[in-house]
Amino acid sequence: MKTTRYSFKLIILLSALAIALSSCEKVIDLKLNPADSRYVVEGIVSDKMGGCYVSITRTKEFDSEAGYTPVSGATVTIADDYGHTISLAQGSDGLYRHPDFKGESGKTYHLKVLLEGKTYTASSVMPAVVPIDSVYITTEDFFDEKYLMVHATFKDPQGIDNYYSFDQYINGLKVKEVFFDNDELRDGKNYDFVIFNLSETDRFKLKPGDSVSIDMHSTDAAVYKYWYSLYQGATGTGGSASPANPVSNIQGGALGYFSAQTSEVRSLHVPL
Amino acid sequence: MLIVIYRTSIINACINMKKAVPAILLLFASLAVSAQQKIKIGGVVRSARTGETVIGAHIKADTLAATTSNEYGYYSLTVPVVKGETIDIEISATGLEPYTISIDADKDTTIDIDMGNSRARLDEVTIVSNATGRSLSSPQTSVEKLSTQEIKNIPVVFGEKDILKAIQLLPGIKPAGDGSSGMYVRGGGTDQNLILLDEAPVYNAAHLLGFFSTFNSDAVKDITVYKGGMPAQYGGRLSSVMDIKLNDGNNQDFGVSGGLGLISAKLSVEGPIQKGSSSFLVSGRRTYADLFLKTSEEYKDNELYFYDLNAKVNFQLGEKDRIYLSGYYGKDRLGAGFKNGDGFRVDWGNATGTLRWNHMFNNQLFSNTALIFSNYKYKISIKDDSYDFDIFSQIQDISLKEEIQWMAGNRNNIRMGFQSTYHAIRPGEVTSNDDSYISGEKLFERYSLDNAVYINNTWQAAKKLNIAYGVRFTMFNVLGGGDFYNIGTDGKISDSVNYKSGEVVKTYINFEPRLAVSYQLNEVSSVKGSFARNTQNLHLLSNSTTAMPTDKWLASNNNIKPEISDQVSIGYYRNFAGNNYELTVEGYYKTMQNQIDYKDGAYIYGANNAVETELLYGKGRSYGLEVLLKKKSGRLTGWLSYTLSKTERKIDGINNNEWYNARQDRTHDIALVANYQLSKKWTLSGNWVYYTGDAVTFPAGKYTVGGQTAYYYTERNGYRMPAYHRLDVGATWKLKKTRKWSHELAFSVFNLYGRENAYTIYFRDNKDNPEKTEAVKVALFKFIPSISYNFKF
Repeated sequence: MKTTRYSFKLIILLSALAIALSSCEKVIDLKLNPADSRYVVEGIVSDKMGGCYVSITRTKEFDSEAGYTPVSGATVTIADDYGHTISLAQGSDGLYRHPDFKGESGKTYHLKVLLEGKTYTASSVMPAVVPIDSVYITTEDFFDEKYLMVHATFKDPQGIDNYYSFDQYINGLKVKEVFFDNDELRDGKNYDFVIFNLSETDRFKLKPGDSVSIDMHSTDAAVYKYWYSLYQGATGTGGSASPANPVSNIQGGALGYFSAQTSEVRSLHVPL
Repeated sequence: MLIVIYRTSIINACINMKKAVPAILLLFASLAVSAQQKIKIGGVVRSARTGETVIGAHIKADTLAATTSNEYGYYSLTVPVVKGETIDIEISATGLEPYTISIDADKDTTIDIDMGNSRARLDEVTIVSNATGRSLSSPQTSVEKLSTQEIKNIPVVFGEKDILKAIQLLPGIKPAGDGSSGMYVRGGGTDQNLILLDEAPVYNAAHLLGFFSTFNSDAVKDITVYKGGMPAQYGGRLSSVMDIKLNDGNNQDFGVSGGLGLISAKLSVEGPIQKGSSSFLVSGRRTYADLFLKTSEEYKDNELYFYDLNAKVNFQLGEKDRIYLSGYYGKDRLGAGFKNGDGFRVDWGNATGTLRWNHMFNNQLFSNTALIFSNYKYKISIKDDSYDFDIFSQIQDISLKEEIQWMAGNRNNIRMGFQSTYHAIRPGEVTSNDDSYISGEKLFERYSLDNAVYINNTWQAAKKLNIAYGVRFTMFNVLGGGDFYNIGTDGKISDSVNYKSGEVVKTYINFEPRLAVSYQLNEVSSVKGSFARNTQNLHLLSNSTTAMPTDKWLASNNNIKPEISDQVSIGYYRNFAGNNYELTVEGYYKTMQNQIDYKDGAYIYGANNAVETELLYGKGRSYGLEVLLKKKSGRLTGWLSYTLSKTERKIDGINNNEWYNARQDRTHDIALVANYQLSKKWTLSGNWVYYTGDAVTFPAGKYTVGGQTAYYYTERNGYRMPAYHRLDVGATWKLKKTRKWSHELAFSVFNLYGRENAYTIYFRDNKDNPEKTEAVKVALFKFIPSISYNFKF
């Protein structure tokens, strides 16, 4: 009697352990065939001065550990529908900028990049700004670990389709992720957007004592589709059965996107 | 409303068929006419001990005629009248004692046969008679069958003898992988398999990440899997039909059996309601591991359980009629933190109910009528400080089936009938329980009527030549209630048309010919060939690596056409050493039309009335060679199966419109299965599987946008996952076995040598060096031991 009860308990314990220890992750070596390098264009038109830039880089081989060097020698212009065209020049940081240009809500902007005889174009409409009501921080539990997360509250404008994206900076360093959402099911409602930063890298993980700021953007539908399709199939996470390049709004064969977006920054200090 | 639509559609179908049917029937009938006077012998074959009907028993009348019992145990023989003489009727079936009865050969006779259990000793190498082996003469190709006896000998995995796991060890039927419940049959997708449990369709075949099938394998009487060449009475899915028949319930004595495993417990109770003429069977399973989770502080808010319940009653009403009423209910739940008000919960499950009526008009004419109800649904609930909403999706089917089996003489066996199913699909709606943050969104419920009329004859054309020929006419009506969108050539909605409830939006008519031929070369070998066309009107849209309850089932509509497949199969069949060994070599070639896939970056979540704007269409092709060598008797039994195959797709909008490997393309697939009777008390079992990894898409480069590392892809499915292989072993210890009761302990180890088979490979930035990216392999199950205790009264 005693031995059966004991062995029964042992069996349960062992099996639970067996299943828990069963799954595992391991870094492996993969031989991947490199393809011809493609240009990657990131174009931002912001409604804040100094927020507009175009970044041009290239794709690298998977094994490369070199950083992304900005590409020089491109002719970059941004035009609006009223015949104004500005030229952007490459600065010391490699980005193409214009000294005193900023965009306006409601206007459509057209990007044109001429590079090595090829032309890449894109258009984007800057939506109206959606103001942030407040920001605050909570502690969330995920997979038995605690994460500090920033919330942004705002009211979604009723009757129009809204698309949002957020950038997060911790101690001045941009977190390597873009957080985004649309207002499906939330049209006209009070929105409490949680910036789901589950990064395991130390400097991108929010800790007490850190200063954090978030930059909220209102974007158009094509830009939302870009981020959505990127996170669904091109960030290498393996959830999708068919990874694919994101749906880009750039014509001509370059990767990347062009976004005319509003910008709203809020900063916080995480108490110790 | 439903009845009106149903009647109108059937009448329309019948009016068209009306002209053709008499002609066809006359053709078939003329074959049955013969000059000499004949008598007809028929009846039911049953097990004497339990009263269970015996499927596939072989009945022979001297050397004059031979037949097999059908799926309800009925058989029919026609023999020439010989006045003053007797004829010996011999009946044999696997696991049962052969039986002979002599009858007067001068009048029609109904003989019900009750067969005793086999008295053969375990260590005898019984020569399996020609009759009980697989049939060399039957024209059916591409079929795998497991009888009750073979089911008892399948390997034990997680302490259970799982039918669906066992058939995945046969050639041409491939498991979708660890953690997944789907199956790929001859290169087809996981939604292309029709799983029938006592004639009711099962949409969700497995519990708990694919580990357990949704029904108790102990209650299974017979399983037949058609990988191709399906006879005309089957239709609705392109790649396979898995026809599973459950036990009816012992109508002689009460019986209780059950078991306790590490994860779940099961119990079956069966017995007579009226001895000899009616019985019941109730069988259920439930996990209990979650009860332990409740005791742990850390996990007490997590929920993880499944349960299933099968219940059947059957009644013999007089000599000619039998009624069966059966039901199934199964549910899975997965939840974290939900009970606390902060978390999520996923529920999904199937419920089916079937009412069947067998009627024997006479010794040659048998009818089966079935009314079937099925309900498959899933619900995802999310709750936290700001949100409280549910996502809900459901498929409800009501079907009426009627089949007449006319055993017209010994050379013709005709089946004809109709099947009509009404589908009501709720494709996914969001209900918000707290309107302040989220509004609900309801999608149009979609209705359709799936009708089929068929006729099939299995004809013994000559002594060595058997031909099965038939046709299935299908008519699929897309019905209204709701807006239907027209999609322009640019892939966007061009306009929408509103249809009233019950109005026919579109009708698809298809004609599916079926042909199979067998030629018996000699006593021990034959060659067979078959052709079959199949159509499918329910499609599963999925974009995940594992089958998730969020995968959407959609019916054909004004934009989505029925999928069509054509398959040709030829094979060579040889028995060795007195039918102790069976060798099957089969080759197949299958083409598929109107295959569906998602566009890149398709918006698959959330509620979308016009999901067709996210879809692309194309074709597929699949071909291969399957080899199976089976050893059927003796201490050591088992089989070796090998499949060499390829399956590809060509869909406009994917992979530059060129052919690409389908995800389920696996070049080599090997399974070695062995069962060894060590002694009276111990049985050992083992199986080793090996298959080429799935075709996958890996990046050709990387870049950065918004700081996020992104991967650059060129071709679709141009790479391979690493090969998968593992060894499972099991041992069963029969503690005690008497006539009254028996119990045993089953031990098993899944993945004995602990190979870390890749479930998925993903890519990420290196934690310490941001410029470096790495590939990470995730393996799900290593070495998993298991014990279970089973008993039977």
